[in-house]
Amino acid sequence: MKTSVNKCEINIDVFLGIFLSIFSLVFLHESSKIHPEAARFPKLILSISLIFSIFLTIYGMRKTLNTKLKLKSDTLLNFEVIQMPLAVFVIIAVYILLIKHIGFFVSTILFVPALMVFYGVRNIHLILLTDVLLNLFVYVFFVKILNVIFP
Amino acid sequence: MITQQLLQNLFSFQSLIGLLVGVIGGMFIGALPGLGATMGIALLIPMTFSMEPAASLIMLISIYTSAIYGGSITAILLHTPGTPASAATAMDGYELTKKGKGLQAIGVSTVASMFGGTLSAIALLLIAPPLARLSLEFNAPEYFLLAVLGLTIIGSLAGDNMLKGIISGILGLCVGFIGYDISVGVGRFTYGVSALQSGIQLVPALIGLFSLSQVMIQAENMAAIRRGEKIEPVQNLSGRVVPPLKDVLGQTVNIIRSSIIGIIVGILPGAGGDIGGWLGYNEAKRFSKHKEKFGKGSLEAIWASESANNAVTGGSLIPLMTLGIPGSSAAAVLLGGLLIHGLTPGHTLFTEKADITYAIILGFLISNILMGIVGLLIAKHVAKVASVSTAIIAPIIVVLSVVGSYAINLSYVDIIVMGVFGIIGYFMRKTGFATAPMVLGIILGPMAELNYKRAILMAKSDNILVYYLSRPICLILIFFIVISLLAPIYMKKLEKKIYASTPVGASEDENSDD
Repeated sequence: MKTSVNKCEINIDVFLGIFLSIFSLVFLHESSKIHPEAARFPKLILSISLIFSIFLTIYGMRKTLNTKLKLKSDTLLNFEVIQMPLAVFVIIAVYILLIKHIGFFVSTILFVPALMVFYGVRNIHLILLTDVLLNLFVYVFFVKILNVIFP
Repeated sequence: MITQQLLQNLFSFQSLIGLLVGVIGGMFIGALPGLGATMGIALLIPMTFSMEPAASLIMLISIYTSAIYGGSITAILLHTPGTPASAATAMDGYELTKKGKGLQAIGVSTVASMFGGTLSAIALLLIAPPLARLSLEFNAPEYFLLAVLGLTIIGSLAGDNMLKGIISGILGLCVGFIGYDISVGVGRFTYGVSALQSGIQLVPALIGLFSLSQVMIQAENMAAIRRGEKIEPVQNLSGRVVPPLKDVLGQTVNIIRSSIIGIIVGILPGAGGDIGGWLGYNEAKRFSKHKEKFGKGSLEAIWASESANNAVTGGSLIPLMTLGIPGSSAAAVLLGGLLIHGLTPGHTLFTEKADITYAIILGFLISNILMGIVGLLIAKHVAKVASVSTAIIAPIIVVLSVVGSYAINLSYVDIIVMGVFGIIGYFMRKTGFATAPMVLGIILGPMAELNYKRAILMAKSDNILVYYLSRPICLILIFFIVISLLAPIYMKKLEKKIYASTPVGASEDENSDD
């Protein structure tokens, strides 16, 4: 993720550090609303989290000023790369929501072909075979053998 | 009496089925690029709920060792390591395949993996019990520091950034705060949501972090998947698979040295199969009379890398079963499996639960031998699995993830937890935060908090720091905590030295957690 400021690309760790610092501060504040004894350990850990988040922010600033310190993991996130994974996640999220409303097996029977078509599979026989075999496996192993009752 | 119970646990119908499923299933899981041992174990833990504890752990540990071996099959035949542990093997293995000696390389890899894994199982059997006796000396302060040690070690499990690894572990601890605090009787961070009163369940979070996030990682290659690009299996493999006895005997020193390296690497948390494989490879090259052949198709190289990377598996189980500190990402997930079946690492595992524990260790030993036999029979066919399209694998993984998450408590909320941790896991991996430390944080958090509170009570009016420093074992643990914070820096320098001195020839999964 790159943001240009005076031709200087701010390292992603700066944003992550700030986000995590805010996260730690918010939950430190929330901890003060809990019973003191129950809040003791969370407060300790969240304080340590805040300190490390500040370190991360500082480290990010160092990497911004000195690009030689940049690591491979600093460059993995960009919008072009995450589009498809996010689209897949949306399909999965819809599947999970459907489970509650129309049941597990009906939603799975719909989900498998939907995802396979999204992945570019056009062979109807392959789609049907995968759908049937997968649902059959889950039914036999989990419902019949393990007695799991699905929604 | 214990022996009788042990044999019943080891040779029960479930254990034998678990052994077979684990060995064969692990090979296929390892052969599939992008999957790996950690994800395979995470996905299959829910399927072990109704199994006996010994049978469950035998299956999961068999998957671990077999998946590490399975990665070498595609590494040799297709130059595509199924797991990072097989990266060192891919170099020489594929050169041999190009020369028409692919099957020979597979045979060597199989026997080497078998020896490495078996030797590490023997090491586990001999080293673990005396180490477990140490844990008898532990009380609340020691257990708290042990949890801290485990959590500082997670910095070693973190990709290329130790600071992010520690933060990832801390976030895992924070996940453990959600729910009902039994000691005080109040809910924490539940915000009135009744489903959160019982906290975040480990297994759905684990499945989301490893399996679902991996599906999303693989979706980044959507264009290639839609074009139907896939790995084509090697045709017309012929020749002898089983290496001649003369060759095996000639490599005895190499195998033993590489296995010892693998066992030690496995004991060191954070240094996984890939480090073990490369270290074994490098040392073999150093001692070899034919150094010039390394990188160009040397069987000696494969004997070394495969013995070493499979020896890591047993080594990583030693600190796991004795002190509850996993030696690798896969071992971190196995810790979850142990706890789910009521098996707490430490002395009790080797005394009260001895019949189960020793059955698991012996099952692990047998699985390595079985892996060798089965591997010699089916290895060339296992390679074909690498050509199965992601378009088919992805929906299968998602459905099994949903089923696995739901089956634990028959709770729809757990499916949502799996989904949420899936997206969290994906963004963590895209921003350099390893997911294994978060799993460790979730597992060790409750232990850390409970013993933290108990230690304060034990210290009574004394200064807590002075109390800790007055206990000898605590002093040793504090020393190790400092070492574990510094060790990753040394390991990174060692890694750079290793990778700089060997030719680059194998692919790397920059998002991998194995």
